[in-house]
Amino acid sequence: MNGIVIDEIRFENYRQYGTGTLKFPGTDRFNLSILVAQNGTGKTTLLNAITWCLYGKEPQLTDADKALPVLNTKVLKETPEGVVLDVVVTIRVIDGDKIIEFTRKHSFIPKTSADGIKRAVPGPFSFTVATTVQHDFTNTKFDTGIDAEFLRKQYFHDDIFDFYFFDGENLKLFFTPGRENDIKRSIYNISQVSLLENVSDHVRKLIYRYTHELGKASPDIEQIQTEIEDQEAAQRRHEESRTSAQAAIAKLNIELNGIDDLLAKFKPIADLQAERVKLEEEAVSLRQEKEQLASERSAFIRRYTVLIKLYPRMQSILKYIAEKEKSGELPPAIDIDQVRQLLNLLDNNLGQPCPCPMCNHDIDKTGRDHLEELLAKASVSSKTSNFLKEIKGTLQAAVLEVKSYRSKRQDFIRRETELEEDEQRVAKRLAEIAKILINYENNNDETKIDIPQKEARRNIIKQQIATHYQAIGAANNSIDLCKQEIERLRAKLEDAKAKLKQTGKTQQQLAVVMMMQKYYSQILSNITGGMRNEIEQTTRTIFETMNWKTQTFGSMEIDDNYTVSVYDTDGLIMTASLSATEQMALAYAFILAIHNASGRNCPLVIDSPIGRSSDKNRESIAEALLKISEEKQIIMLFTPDDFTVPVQELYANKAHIRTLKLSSDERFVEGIDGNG
Amino acid sequence: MPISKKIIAEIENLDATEREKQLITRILELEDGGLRNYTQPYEREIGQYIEAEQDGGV
Repeated sequence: MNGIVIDEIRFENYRQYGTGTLKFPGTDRFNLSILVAQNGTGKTTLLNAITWCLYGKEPQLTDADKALPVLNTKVLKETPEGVVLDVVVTIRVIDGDKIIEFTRKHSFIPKTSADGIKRAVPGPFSFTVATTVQHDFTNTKFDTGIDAEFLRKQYFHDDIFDFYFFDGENLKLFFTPGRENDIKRSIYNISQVSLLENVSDHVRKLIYRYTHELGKASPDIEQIQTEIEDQEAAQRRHEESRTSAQAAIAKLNIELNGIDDLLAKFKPIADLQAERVKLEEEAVSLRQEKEQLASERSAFIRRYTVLIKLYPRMQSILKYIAEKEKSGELPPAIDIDQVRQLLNLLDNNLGQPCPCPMCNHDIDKTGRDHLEELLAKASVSSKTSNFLKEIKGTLQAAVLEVKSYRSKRQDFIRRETELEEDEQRVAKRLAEIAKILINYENNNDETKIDIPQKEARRNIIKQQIATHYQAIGAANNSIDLCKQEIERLRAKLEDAKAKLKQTGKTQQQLAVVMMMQKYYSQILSNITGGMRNEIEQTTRTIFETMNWKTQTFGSMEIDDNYTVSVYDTDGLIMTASLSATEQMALAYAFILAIHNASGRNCPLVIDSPIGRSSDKNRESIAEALLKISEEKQIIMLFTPDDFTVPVQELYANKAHIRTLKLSSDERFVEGIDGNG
Repeated sequence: MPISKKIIAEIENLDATEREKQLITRILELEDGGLRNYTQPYEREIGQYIEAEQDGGV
């Protein structure tokens, strides 16, 4: 198996892990380590230990200010005041022939406060990375500070740690609205698309610089380059506007969903709210249908404009063909070209006889006269007759199509009328519901929900969302215009540069960075182009293996923003209707698909991997994770309740399993090597 | 494994000379090291590439 693996984690005075080592051996086939521990023993603390070591933070703590110090409390209690204590966590990672140890150390000094409580006063901290190649420990390289952070980011970037180290029970929150930009950014970081974008940005700056330097010798170049930069800046502004509008929509949608939830749960109007939600979905569907129909109508008009214009000519050609067919000239009984060739041959032979290609007898004067008579009679050549035969079918089909114009036009009118009526019906009912709600008097003292106020706020949100969508549309148009203008200016710049006869270093440098830009663009395009489809397909495949249902789920889509949508077998969207377990399976599938697409094989550490799923889903997820551990290291932390008999049987002899428990004084985790 | 296998594979498939591929890779490695707004390392690499091209007589 290839990939990065966590070989061991060493602790010194760290929380209840105290001082000891946890190793993570796999088996021959599976790289799967399982730790089983009661809640409160230290499963989540292990996850925190990893993130503390790598990132200096413990995200699984609900409130860091109200948590115990990282320093083991028994060690704190037993150490005299003023003695420096180090808390150290080292993660040893193996990457091919490299052993990399990430070590975070934080010193503390025990001190008793005025309230009589002994506390750990934080001192200096450090982060180091030790890299050993091919077990040559005499040449281990140590990096600290920024260099160490650089190495750490290469393996475990900050933006993506919760795709590697996470709590399974939180997976159902993975697709919370508003997270889309975070997820997309994380995917781009994991797959190093961000890296490529940064490099492209740097190279672009160099191109500007060199071009400006060249432009000093040619004012035209300088001018054009400035115009390009202005257009690119304008394009970026429009893109930022678009992103802001998208973020605003996401935020408004969260509030809108909140209001809708509230209204849906308020019994007296729950039915109305449900009806409204359904009608709004229908309105969206009708709008999309209307846009589709408009597009079809435009295509219809364009096609028939041409057909109707050509109709008279088509009819006359068909009439001509019919006449030729009737008189037997089409197809001709003879090969006119061959007749002409024979006559030419006879002429070139200066009157001497030539053999006939059919019967081989010499063609005499009588024969020659006969040939000339045939030629005079046939008024079309073979090539022309073949062509006319070919187009006859097409022309007939086109004429029939023209004749069906009226009925097709009627069909469009009918469909447009029906859509219009449906839209009006929906709009009317929506207005009625809105009127009821805006005037609703809540006489139920217990709930104290101000329905008219919520309804008014809902209307405002809807209007704001519509405004933002318009802004996005305008931004998209502006961006397209900028792109067109940039393309035109770049062509103009190339012309200007070609005219500039200047050699020298700057010219060479410019040629090199232009080459680099071309290649980085190509790499970026190839990677992003394939990545979304790859992630979509892999997510779908893994999701199916993690679910026991076989008749419910239809297709799955991941859009350009990496938002996942799941559809049922009838094509209805059902992402928000997934159960908590199904959401968990979807999140797993998505994370694993991202790992797969990233080209990096990094380990997974999962607390409560099966969460609160039950029965068939539990086993499906467990089996899927086992399969994945054939290719990737997985470390899983279970409670005994989650580690049910079927799961135990599944993992027996395939995973390295150990049980952890707290010492009798509950200060240390027992079950790791060398703890005390 | 600082640069992902996918990117490395894409670089290998480029219709470029070996030296160009090395330059492309090296710049990615530099950027991954957190160059942010500094371009001198880029220019140094580009300068070395140009010299190597000239020495190589290409």
